[in-house]
This record gives sequence, C-alpha cells and structure tokens, in this order.
Amino acid sequence: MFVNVLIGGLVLGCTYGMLALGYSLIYQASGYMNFTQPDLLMVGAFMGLTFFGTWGWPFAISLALAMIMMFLLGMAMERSFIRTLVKKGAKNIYIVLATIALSTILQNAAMLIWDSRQHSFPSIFTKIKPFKIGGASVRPEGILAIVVAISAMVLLHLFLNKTKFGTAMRASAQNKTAANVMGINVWQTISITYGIAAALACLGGVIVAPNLGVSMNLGTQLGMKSFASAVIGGYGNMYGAIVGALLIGLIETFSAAYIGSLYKDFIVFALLILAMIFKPTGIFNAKVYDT
Amino acid sequence: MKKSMALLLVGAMVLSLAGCTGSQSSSTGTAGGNTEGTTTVGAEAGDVIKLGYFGPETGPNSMTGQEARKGAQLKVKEINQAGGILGQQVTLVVYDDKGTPEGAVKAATRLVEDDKVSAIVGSQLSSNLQAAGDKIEKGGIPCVGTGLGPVWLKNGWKYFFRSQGNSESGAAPLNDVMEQVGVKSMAVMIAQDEGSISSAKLVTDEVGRRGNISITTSEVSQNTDTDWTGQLSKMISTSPDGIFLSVQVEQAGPMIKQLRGLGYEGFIFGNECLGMPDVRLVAGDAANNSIYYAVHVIPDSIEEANSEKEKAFLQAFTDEYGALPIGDVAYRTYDAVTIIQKGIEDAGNTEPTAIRDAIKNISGLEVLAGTIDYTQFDNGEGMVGTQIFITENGRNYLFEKYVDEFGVPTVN
Repeated sequence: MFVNVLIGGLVLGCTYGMLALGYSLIYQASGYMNFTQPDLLMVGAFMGLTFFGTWGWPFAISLALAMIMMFLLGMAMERSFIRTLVKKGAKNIYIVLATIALSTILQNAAMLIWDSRQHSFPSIFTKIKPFKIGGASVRPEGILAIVVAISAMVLLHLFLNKTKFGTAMRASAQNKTAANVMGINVWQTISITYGIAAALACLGGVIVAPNLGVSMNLGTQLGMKSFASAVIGGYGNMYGAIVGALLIGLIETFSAAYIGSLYKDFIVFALLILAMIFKPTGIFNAKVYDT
Repeated sequence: MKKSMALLLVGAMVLSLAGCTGSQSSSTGTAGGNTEGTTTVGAEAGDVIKLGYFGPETGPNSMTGQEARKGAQLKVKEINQAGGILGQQVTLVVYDDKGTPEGAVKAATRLVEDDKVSAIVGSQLSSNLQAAGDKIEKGGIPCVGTGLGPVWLKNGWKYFFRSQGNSESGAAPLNDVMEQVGVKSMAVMIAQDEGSISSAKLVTDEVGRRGNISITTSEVSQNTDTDWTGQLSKMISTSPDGIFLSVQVEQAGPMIKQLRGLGYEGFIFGNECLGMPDVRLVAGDAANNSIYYAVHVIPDSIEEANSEKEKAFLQAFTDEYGALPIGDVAYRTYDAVTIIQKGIEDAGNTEPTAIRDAIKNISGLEVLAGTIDYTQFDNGEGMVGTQIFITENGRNYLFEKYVDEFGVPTVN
C-alpha cells in the first residue's frame, strides 16, 4: 500500500504543481493573482481531447497545437480584460474578481462548446502497459506527469533567472514605471506571461487527463489545492510551487490512506491557514507581504 | 499585423463569451438572484398552467441535471402538442439550483412566492429536496421529487411525492447477488451527498442485518476529489472480495478507472449511478465486473428498450435532442410531469391543494418506471422495485439474463 500511496501522492502533487506554477508565474510577472488557471487547464484538456481523442491527430501535434491556442487565449485574456482594468486604475482586488468571473465564463463556454459530461481521454502510451514498482501498479502517464512537472519547474526557473526576457518579466512585476524607462515593453511582457501560464495549464491538463478524465469541473476540483500549494511553497516562487504541490499531494494521499479520508481536506487546508499565519513567505521565502 | 491578430483574438473571445452568456440565459434559469433567470418552456403567455422545475444545470451534477431538465421539457412539449391539460397549454419555469442546497432553497422560494406555480418537479438530488422541502410544503405546492434517497419522504410532508421507487428497494436484491457471487468481505466508498450516503447506509445496514459479509473499511469521497489513490489503496489493502461504491455518476467513471489502475480486479458493487452510459464511457473496460441496482439502465440503442413505452420515450428523446439520454434522471422527470398531468386532470383545476389531493389518489398509472400507486403507501412513495444489472463485455445486462447466458460469476 505504501508504494501505491507514495506514487499516487507524487502524481497528484505534480498535477497541482502544474497549476501552482501558473499562479506563481503570473504573480512573478505582473504582481496579480489569477484564478483562471484551473479553468484554463480544463479548456486545454478539452482542446487536447478534441485534437487527439476525437480527431485522432498524433499526440505530439495535438499537444503542441492545444498549447499554442491556449497561449493565444491567455494573451487575449490579458489584453482584453486584465489590461483594460489595470489601465483604468482598478485596484488589485478587482483584477482578482475579474479573473474569478472569467473563470466562470470559461466553464460555461466549455459547457457550450463541448458539454457537461465526463469524457474519457485516451491513453497516451498505447504500447506501454501499466507496470509494477515495489508491488504497486503504475500508469506510464503518472510517471510522465512527474517528469513534466519537475522539468517545467526547472525550465521556468532558468527562464526567469537566466534569460533577458525572464529578467524583464520580474522587472515588470517589481516596478512597471522603472521597467518602462529601462526600455522594457511591460505590457507585452505581461501579455506573454499570461500566454505562457495558459500554455502551461494546458500542458498540465493534457498530461493528467488520461488519469482524471475531462469535464467542465476538472479545473474547479483542482484549483483550491493548487492555490494552497503555491502559497505553502512561497507564492511566486517556481520551486516553491512544485515543492508545495508535492507536499499537499502527499499529505492528502497519505492522510486518506493512514489517518482517514474524512480528515484529508481538513488537514490540507489547516496547513494552508497555518502557513499563512506562521510562514506567509512559504517554504521558499517568497516576497508576498507588504512590509 | 500584431495589432490585427490581437484584435482578432479579442473579437473571437468576446463573441464566444457573448454567445455563451446569451445561450445560457435562454436555455436555463438560475436561482442565483436575478429575475432574468427564469425560463419558460412550452406555452409563452396567456392562460397557461405554470409548472416549476429546479435542478442542477451547472456545478458538479450538471451533467445529469441537464438530462433531467430535458426529460421534463420533453413531456411538457408532448402535452402541449396533444392539446395541453384541461384545454390549457403548459409552461415550465426552470431554475438552476447549481446542485447546492442553498440554491435549491432559493429556487423553491422563487417558484412558490414569485412564480406561483401549480406544481413542481423537484431535483434529482435528495439533499436539495430535503433542503427545499419546508419552503415548498409551507407554500402548499405539490412537488414530485426525483431524488432516490428515502430520507426526504420521511419528514411527514403532505405535498411531496416521488416519481419512482426509492433506493431502499435495491439494498436487499443487491445483497442477494453479493452473497450469490460469493462475497464474504467488502470495502465501502461513500460520496458526501445525501443520495450516496442514504444508499450506502441502506446497503450496509442490510449487510449488517444479514451478518454474512464483513465490511473491511469504509472510506469517504469529497465532492471536489479527483484522485482517490489514498482511499482506494487502503480499501485494496484490506483484500476485500468486493468493493461497494456509493458515489455520483460524475465520480464513478474516473474512480473505477483508478481502482482498476491500482490493480483491483474484483467485483464492484453500487447503486443506479454505475449503470449510466458515461461510467462505461470514461472507465472503459475497467467498468466490467460491476454489479448494481437500478430501475432503469439506458440501453445502447432504442431497439434494446425494455418496453414499448420506453421505446417511444427514447425515440422522442432522440428526435428532440439528437441522442439517447445519458442518465435515468430523464426518465424520472418525464414521469414526474406525467404524474402532475394526471393530478391536474383528476383534480379538474389547477389549485395546488386540489392537485395534491388528486395525486395522492393516483393508482394504476403506467409510467416509464412501472405502475404508480400512491394509495398503498400514504407517504408520497408510489412504487417499489429495482432490478440488478451487471456490466460485462462493455455492456449492461440484466443480472438474471446474464446468469442464464453465462452462468453465475464468482469471486476468484
């Protein structure tokens, strides 16, 4: 049982991690919280399902196309809604509320474009059967989720810290006026960040869909715990997002298995409250409070 | 070029959003607060009979909720095409309760106080009927509920009825089959909604009463869960002969898939949710070896319907919506409107209490679920009786027929 629970917890943690990375990325680049991430994951999973499952296109092409479309959708959302509000001088809370409203609109749009049913996402690895690790049955998609989440974390960290564009993103978040003076196209930078976050959500959605299925509620079900992951890890920190997510995934799964399934959510969200009170900067000391 | 692209994207998004909000408001109502939320289906205005409906159009139970609404709408349409009731056309006022008890209370309040409907078709979620019941009862409006949990009809309410047998009647035959296939131990998973809790209690109480099967562990699933590795691993670790899942259909498919993915190959038992087409769609071959009780199981084609009445319903449903129903809730709401129609006809007027009294005296009414007879129970129940089905080879069989054809399946 231990190995099953361990692997299950890691896979679940990496699922949360994909979303938590998006939360953190947008916060890093714009300073705003964006609650559309879970529903972008859902829309991305639906797109992947349409290309791969319904139309039968090769998986790599389906994934790439879905990510490109989600990248453009993310940019469009920023340009049409977020930027408009920011330019009107809206306070941060209004930006957050706008993303919550967008989130509901995305769910309803998904219901109209696809439907409200549960959909099965075909297995990505048709030739690789589930295999045993320590007596536990492991699906190859589970391993893929872990590999992709860890890789995304490392690549995003390198992107943010080792590239010129990454530096521009961080500069835009810290001081938009100064960044502008330095020749950084702040709005374009933020726009691309929203696009990257949406594409990342899509990647997460397509990777976890074979295990969880696809429905309009997929994002809602994952959203809160992903957000908790980002906070516990350190909101805005890429390593924090994944480490926080792995922690949440493992605690949730081990709690259900060894303490009791009635208590698992209680434990996870109690941890979130404790983290916000006693360690608001998260495991990786992110700068989240105005002091 | 960049600007054009951006404008194009924004335009596309705005159009899609405008499209979605427009369609939403025209297809369904919401109990969220605005008066634009109501939808009238059927007759438009004038001297019409106004019926109410509330159920989950959005939220985690929206998949089945929309099917339920379609069933009610179909029956209203058929009534109107046949000349209405007592010569009057019928309109259905629809509210989305979002699958939440508070949404159901709001919807009931609107139907009773604002819309002043003559009768109500109630949600398929027993917890929502339980929540909204007092408001409807005090308003004196007859309500034919479609939830299967037995609890809400045990409140002593005088205006409530059920459109088919409750889940209580499935516990004994399911236990019979569990024993027949050789189950000696069983692990249980219970979703945290009224219907799932009720059906789990009924089945496990029957297990306890008989004393032939031991329950190795009982786990819960929250509505927001997407991964059950912890609970399922614990259940499998107790080496049960069977696993009983009392969960909603939205959870059943992925849960069964994960269960099989963790290496469990034994019997899966459950309630009517396991018979929904979406469970097989999502779980695929993992759904094989599932045994469950239900009044209806949606056949794979119209020709496989169990009766001419069901065949006619499925044909009409397919003609209207382009596909077979994906949940038996469509049967339940269709029957509910049929019952209300009979009540109004027997009452000879649309006064709610007169309709209630007439429904209470309905006996021998043939509906999709069987024969309704409210006179034999005096508590709003109109029938008993469910059947046992098994999913094997990717299709649903009546268990008796399966045994005749393949023999009794047994625990390996």
